[in-house]
Amino acid sequence: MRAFIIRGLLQSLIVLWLVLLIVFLMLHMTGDPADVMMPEEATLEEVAAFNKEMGFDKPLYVQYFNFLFGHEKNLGVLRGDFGHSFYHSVPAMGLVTERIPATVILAVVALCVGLVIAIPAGILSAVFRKSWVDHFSSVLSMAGQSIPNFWLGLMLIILFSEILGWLPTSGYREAKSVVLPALAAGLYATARIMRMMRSTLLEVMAQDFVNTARSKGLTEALVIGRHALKNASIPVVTIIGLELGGLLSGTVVVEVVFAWPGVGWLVVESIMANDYPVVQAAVALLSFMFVGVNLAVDILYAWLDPRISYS
Amino acid sequence: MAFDKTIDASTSPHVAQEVDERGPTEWQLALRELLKRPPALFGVFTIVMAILWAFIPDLFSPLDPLNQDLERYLKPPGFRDAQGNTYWLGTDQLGRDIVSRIIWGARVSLTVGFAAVFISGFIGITMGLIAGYFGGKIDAVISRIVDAALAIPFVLLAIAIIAILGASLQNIVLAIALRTWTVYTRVVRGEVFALKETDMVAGAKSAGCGTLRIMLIYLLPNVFSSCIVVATIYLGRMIIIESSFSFLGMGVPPPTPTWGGMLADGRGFLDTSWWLTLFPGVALTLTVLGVNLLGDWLRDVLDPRMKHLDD
Repeated sequence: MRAFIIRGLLQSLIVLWLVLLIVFLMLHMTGDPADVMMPEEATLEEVAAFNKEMGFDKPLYVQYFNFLFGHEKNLGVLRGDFGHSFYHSVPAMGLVTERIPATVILAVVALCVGLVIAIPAGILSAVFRKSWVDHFSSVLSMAGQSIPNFWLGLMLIILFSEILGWLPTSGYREAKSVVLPALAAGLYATARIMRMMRSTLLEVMAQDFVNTARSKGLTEALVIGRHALKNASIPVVTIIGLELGGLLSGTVVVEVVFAWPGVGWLVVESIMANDYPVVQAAVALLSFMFVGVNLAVDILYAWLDPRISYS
Repeated sequence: MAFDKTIDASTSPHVAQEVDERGPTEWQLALRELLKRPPALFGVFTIVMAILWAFIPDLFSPLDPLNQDLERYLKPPGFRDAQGNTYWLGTDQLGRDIVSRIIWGARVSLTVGFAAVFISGFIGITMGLIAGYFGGKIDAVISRIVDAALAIPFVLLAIAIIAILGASLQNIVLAIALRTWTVYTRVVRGEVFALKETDMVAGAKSAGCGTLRIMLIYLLPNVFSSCIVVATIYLGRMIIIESSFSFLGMGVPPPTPTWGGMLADGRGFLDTSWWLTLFPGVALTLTVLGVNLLGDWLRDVLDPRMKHLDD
């Protein structure tokens, strides 16, 4: 088990290094970072001064070294310093960490809403195959995979805010303002978890040990509750973890629709304002969270399933 | 006598008829299956429709999608102007006809969707064939790259890349394909691992077939059906991703009509003009739904391993 965890950690470190490399190279993809970051009407002198200030006049490997380990004005990204925001003149990382709670709240609430619907619906549709519950949940899961979350968000605003006036279109302070964004963001995860719950339970229920349990004379409820569900839980737990990771980094557009003050909205704002240190910090931090959640899921999976060898 | 009869029978035209009845071709079988599945039929219909819109919008579009007139801005569905033109789904904030814009908007969605699927499929299948066939160190390197690509929060990174490289059709396709090739690689690699142990491949090798020949003639056709399933499932997602980029203002720039861009326009008028938001979203959702329904059916038909789960 320890070797398994260490290997997972090492792999995650490699991924994170790759992410940081991409984040560093991002600004150099057009060939000239000043091209991306400076306003078009900037004079040649201004561009030269900017390049000197940012260190863009140095060779690329020196820049990369400075990016990782810092130089006179900067501690380097390995110590969490992505430089100052051009726009707000405060450390970029601080701006991003301020927005993390909102993103986490939205992701967690969306996942909870999803679980409350997906788990019972998935179980019921596996147990009562071809019943109305099964048909209803297959429609729901098809819808969840076909409706773009931001359009769902817009339609929810029209219905619940503009027409019915029940819920606010945006905001963050009140508890009820999370309802619509969570519904919009969570539909896809709901659909995926429900499908997974249904199909793994069906698969488990077709196995020999379930028949054995039935032939012992156990009631169907006991067979499913005590034997089948336990064995179906592993893939479901995995996909729940993966969906959480996806929600943490994938609610960008929903955040924009609802002006939800999370990291996604910050990234879009910063891109519009050419505020690249903030974009870099946000992409890096969300990648860290995403990789962390995935690693946790892997470890949990290995821990839950005794058949997985750790070597 | 009896002996004679059998000989007679085998040479009579009756037998020839029996040979004809041996069974319909695979295509006929597929078509029959399709007719039995209304959802899949609906899927085919929507996709064909969307493709027609994308190729020959002039034929379907009642009016010019770019023709602005502020005298008829934000008119509700069914509005008729002085020239007798009817705007069945209303007009947008610049007085442009929404029906025509939806029809023209199919072009960007489908171009990006298909291009991304083809490019990522080409890269992914190639990598999967190589990893699966050679195994060992080559496989380890490719698999690590796949793991790394899957561990990066992709929408966020794609947004950042597009923002820096500039919003154009090629850059959007590239940003999307950068990640989705990994899905094909995983599927193909797993199947090739199993296939290369079969007698078929051993026979081909002993007959002196070269590596490339084995890959293209013996392995590729056998993994192709799984790839078609993956491609169909991902086509829908690509279309949604493209529309989110357009929604965020990072898609193909205006005035080219895109469904995501139309939704962005509508966002400013959610309280007064719902038709700006409802109809482009319906077009988008129906297209994705059609693709997904077809994908579901293809998976059942082409990928027998998944079949027992969902029928």
